[in-house]
Amino acid sequence: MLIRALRCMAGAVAGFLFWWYATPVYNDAIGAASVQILQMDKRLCGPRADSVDRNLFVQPRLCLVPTATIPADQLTYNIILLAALFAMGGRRVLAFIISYLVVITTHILSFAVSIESTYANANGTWSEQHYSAFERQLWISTEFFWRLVGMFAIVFACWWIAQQQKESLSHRERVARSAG
Amino acid sequence: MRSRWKFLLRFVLFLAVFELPLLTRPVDEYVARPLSSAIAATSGAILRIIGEKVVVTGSVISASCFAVDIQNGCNGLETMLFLVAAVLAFPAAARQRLVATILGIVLIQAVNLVRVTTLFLVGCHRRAWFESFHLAIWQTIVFATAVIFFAAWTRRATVADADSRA
Repeated sequence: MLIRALRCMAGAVAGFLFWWYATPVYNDAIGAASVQILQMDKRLCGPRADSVDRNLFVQPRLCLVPTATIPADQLTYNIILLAALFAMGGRRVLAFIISYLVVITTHILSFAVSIESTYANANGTWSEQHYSAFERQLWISTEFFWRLVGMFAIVFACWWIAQQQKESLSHRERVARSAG
Repeated sequence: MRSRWKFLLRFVLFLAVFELPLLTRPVDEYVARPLSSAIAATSGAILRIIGEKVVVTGSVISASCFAVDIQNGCNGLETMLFLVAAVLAFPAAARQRLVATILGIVLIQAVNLVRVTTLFLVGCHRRAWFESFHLAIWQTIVFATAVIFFAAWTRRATVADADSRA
């Protein structure tokens, strides 16, 4: 019990340090991937994204459109919970790597959603001219849902699957041993 | 294998059913804001006990050094519903689910009170640390509490279920 708690805390600290120090580089990479998705939205005029401090600075390239600053580190700190939960269960490196890849994919999508939500709601008249009321509501609701609970739910889902896999494997091992 | 995915499907469904109404104005006005105000009042009382001179107005706790407004996402409601969705999605007896739901809600709100109180103190005495504590550290602790509580409960609930079957 105590060992598990200590492992959990150690994982959380490692996750925090990674999140804190890797953020600028990580934001650059995730931002570059997410703007590839946003090339489909012509209203954003071929955006490019650059990491500035712990934020993502979005700049359209092809026409005159407002710029946007996204607090990107607020979309990625669920890796702390991921590291803490996986550390608690011991050595499951492969399950952790697969889960982290899933979480990275959701980071790319969440950056894209956050950029859309910012353009749909935070640019005054420009937003109203380019996004319908329904679109504005949809983007901000998706972003809100993701930030408040979705980003943790995906970590929980990954951990839960890995945990059940481990328990099912150890159950099979026990059965095989008792049969042998 | 199949039960694992069934659980996740049910969890996602319950999560959507519980969380999406939080985006509507009536739920915000009649549930989320009163809860935030109650948390502010309780946290304010705790802060006064430990010697901080704070004033609580609605969901705002203020003092000469700092002020916090407990908004959606800071009142523990989302985490409570997250935990309730997981408990309801898990195949256990109704009584066990009810007990887990009540205990889980009490636990999350207790942790959230500690969160609000310490965040105020951090904002007042170490303002530069506030943002990191506000999201990365405390939000992780609150959700980790929910997940660990759920994991511990599923072990007991499964055992109880097996016992009752035997």
